Amino acid sequence: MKLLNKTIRRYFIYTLPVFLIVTYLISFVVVKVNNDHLDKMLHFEKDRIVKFMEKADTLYPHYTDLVENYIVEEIDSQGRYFEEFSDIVVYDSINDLSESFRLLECQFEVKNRDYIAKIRTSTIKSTQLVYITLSLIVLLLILVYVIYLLINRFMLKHMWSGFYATLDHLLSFRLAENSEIKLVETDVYEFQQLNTVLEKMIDSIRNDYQRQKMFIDNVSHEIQTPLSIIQGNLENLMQSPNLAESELNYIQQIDDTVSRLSKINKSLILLSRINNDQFPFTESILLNHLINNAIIRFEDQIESKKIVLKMELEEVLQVNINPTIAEILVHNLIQNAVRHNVTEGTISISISTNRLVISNTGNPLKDAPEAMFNRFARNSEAGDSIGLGLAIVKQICDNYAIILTYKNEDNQHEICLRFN
Amino acid sequence: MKILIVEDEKRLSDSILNYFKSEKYICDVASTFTQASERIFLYEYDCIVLDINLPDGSGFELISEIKKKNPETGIIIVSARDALQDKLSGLKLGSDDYLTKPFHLSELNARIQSILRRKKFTGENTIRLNELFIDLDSRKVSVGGFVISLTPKEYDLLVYLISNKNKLLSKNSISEYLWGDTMDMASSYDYIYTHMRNLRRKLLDAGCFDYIHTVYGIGYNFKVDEAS
Repeated sequence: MKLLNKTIRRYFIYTLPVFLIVTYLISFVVVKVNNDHLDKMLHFEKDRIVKFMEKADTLYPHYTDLVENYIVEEIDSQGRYFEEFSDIVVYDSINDLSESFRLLECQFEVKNRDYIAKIRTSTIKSTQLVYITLSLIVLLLILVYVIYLLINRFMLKHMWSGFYATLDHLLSFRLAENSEIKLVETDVYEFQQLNTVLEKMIDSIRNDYQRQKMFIDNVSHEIQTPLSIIQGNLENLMQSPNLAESELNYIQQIDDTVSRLSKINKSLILLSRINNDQFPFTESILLNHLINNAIIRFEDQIESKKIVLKMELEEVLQVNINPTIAEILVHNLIQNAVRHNVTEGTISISISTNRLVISNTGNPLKDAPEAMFNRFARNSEAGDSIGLGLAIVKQICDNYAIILTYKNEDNQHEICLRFN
Repeated sequence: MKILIVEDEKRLSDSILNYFKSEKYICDVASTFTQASERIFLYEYDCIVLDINLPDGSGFELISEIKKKNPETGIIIVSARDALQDKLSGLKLGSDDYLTKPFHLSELNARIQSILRRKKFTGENTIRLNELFIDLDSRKVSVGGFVISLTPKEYDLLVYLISNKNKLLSKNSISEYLWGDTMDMASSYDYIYTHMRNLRRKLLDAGCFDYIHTVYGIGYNFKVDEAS
C-alpha cells in the first residue's frame, strides 16, 4: 500500500477511538447536565410545595399545564421518606401524542401527616435543546477531525517530496545510458544522507559496468583478431598449387576448428554481455514473426530430416523485450529443437498471450534435465554443436525474468517460457 | 577498381592484399586513422573496407569523411565486436555492409563485388561470364540466353562461386555464406554436396561449360580460363 495511505490509515485507526470516546463523554456530560437541571427544578418545586403546606393548611392544589404538573395527596403514615426521579411517557388523548416527562415522586411529612407528591415536567424542549447542542458539538468535532487529517496529509506529502523525487529518479535510471544521476536537493537530513549514499552506489555500479563492458569488448577483439589472421592465412595457403588431398584435409580441419573457436568466443561474449545487462533497450516485439523467420532459416534441415511441424500460432505473443535478445532467444530454441531431433521427428510450437511452448522429439537424456542448460553440455549425437545455445537461453531468461521450465517424457522434450 | 583497406592489424591486411592480388583490384592499405584520413582525402576509391576499431580514432568518423568526399564510395565495416549498435550506427551513417571478424576472405570478396556491381554507373547489376548471365536484381540465371531455374540456395552458391572464381573455396566458407550461424558444420557439408551436385547438373543440362571443380579434401573451385 502506498506510504501516504498507510500513514493516514494508521492515524485514523489510532485517533478514531479517541474521537469516539470524546464524543461519547461529551454527550454523556451534556445529557447529565440537562438531567441535573431538570431534577433541580423538580426538587425546587417540591420544596415550594412543602413550604406552602407548612404555612397553609390545605393541600397544595393540583396543577396541570402543558409543561408542569403536580399532584399532592395525603396518605397514611408510612414513615418512609424518599425521592425518586424517573422518566415517563404519557399519552395525551386529545392531541393523540405521547409526551415524555421527567417525574419526581416523593413522600414527605408536614405537620405530622404524610403526603405523596408526583411532580413532573415536560422534557420536549430540553431534549430538543440537548439534541441540537449535541449535534453541533459532534459536527464540530468531526470537522476538526477531518481538517486534522487533511492537514496531516498535506504535511506528509510535502515532507516526503524529497523522497519521492529520489524514488522517481531511481525508477527511471538506466545503467547503460550515460545520463547524469543528479538527485534532488532536499532539506531533510535523512533524505540527504540517502541521496549521498545512492549517488555513491550508482557511481560505483556504473564504473563496474563500464569496466566489465570494456573488458568484454577487449576480450572479443583480442581473440577474434588472431582468429581472423589464422583464417586469412589459411585461405591464402589453400590457393597454393600442387597441394595433395591430405594436405588440403589438414587445412580444412584447421579452418573448421578456427570457425568453431570463433563461435565459442562469440557465444561466451554474448553470455557475458547478457549477464552485464548490456541490452537495456526494450521494445514491444511480436514473437510470432520471429518464430516464423527462424523456421524459414532452418527449413533446409527441417526438410532433410523430414521433421513434421505443428504450429499453433493463432494467438499473439507480444512481449516487451530487447529485439536482439528476442531474436537470439527464438533462434536458439528452434535451433535446439531442430538439431537434437530425430529423422521424421516432430516439432510443436504453441503460443498464448504470455507463454511459448516448444517441444520436440529427440533422444532420451543421459544426464539430469537441468544439466541441459549448463554451458557446454551437449548430446554427443548432435555433431559439433558447441553446447552454448541453451545456456544462452537460460541466461536470457534469468536476466529478463522469464520463467523457464523443462519437461521430459521419454522421447518428448518440452521447453516452456512464461513471460510477464 | 580501386579499393582501400583500413586495418590496423598488419598480418590481416597482408592476408587480404594477398588474396585480392589475383582479382582485378588496385589495393591501398591504411593502418591508422590518420593514414586513412589522408588517403581518403587524396584519392577516390570504389570501395573501402573499414575496421572501426582503429587505435587512434573512430572508424565511424571516417565514414562521415568518406561520405563528404565521395558519397558514391562503397563502405564495408569490419569489426571484431559483433555489437548490434555498431552495425546500426554504421548503416545509419551510410555504410553499405557489415562483417564481423573472423571472416573468410572469400566472403569479403563476394561482398565487395556485390557493392561494386551495384555502384556501376551503367546501373546494371549483372554478372556476365561467357555463356553465363546472371541478373542480380531479378535473381535470374541464363545459359546461352536460356533461363534456368535454380533454388535460392543454388543461386546464392553460384554467385558466391563466380565472385571468387579461380579461387579454392572451403566448404566451411561456403557453409557460413549460405547459412551463417544456423547450421553446424558437419551437417552443412552434406547439404553443400547436394546443392552443388544439383547446381552442376542444371548448368550442364543447359549446355554450360563445367566450370565447377570439386577439390577433394576441402572444397570447390569455379575455374575459368582467364585468357578469354
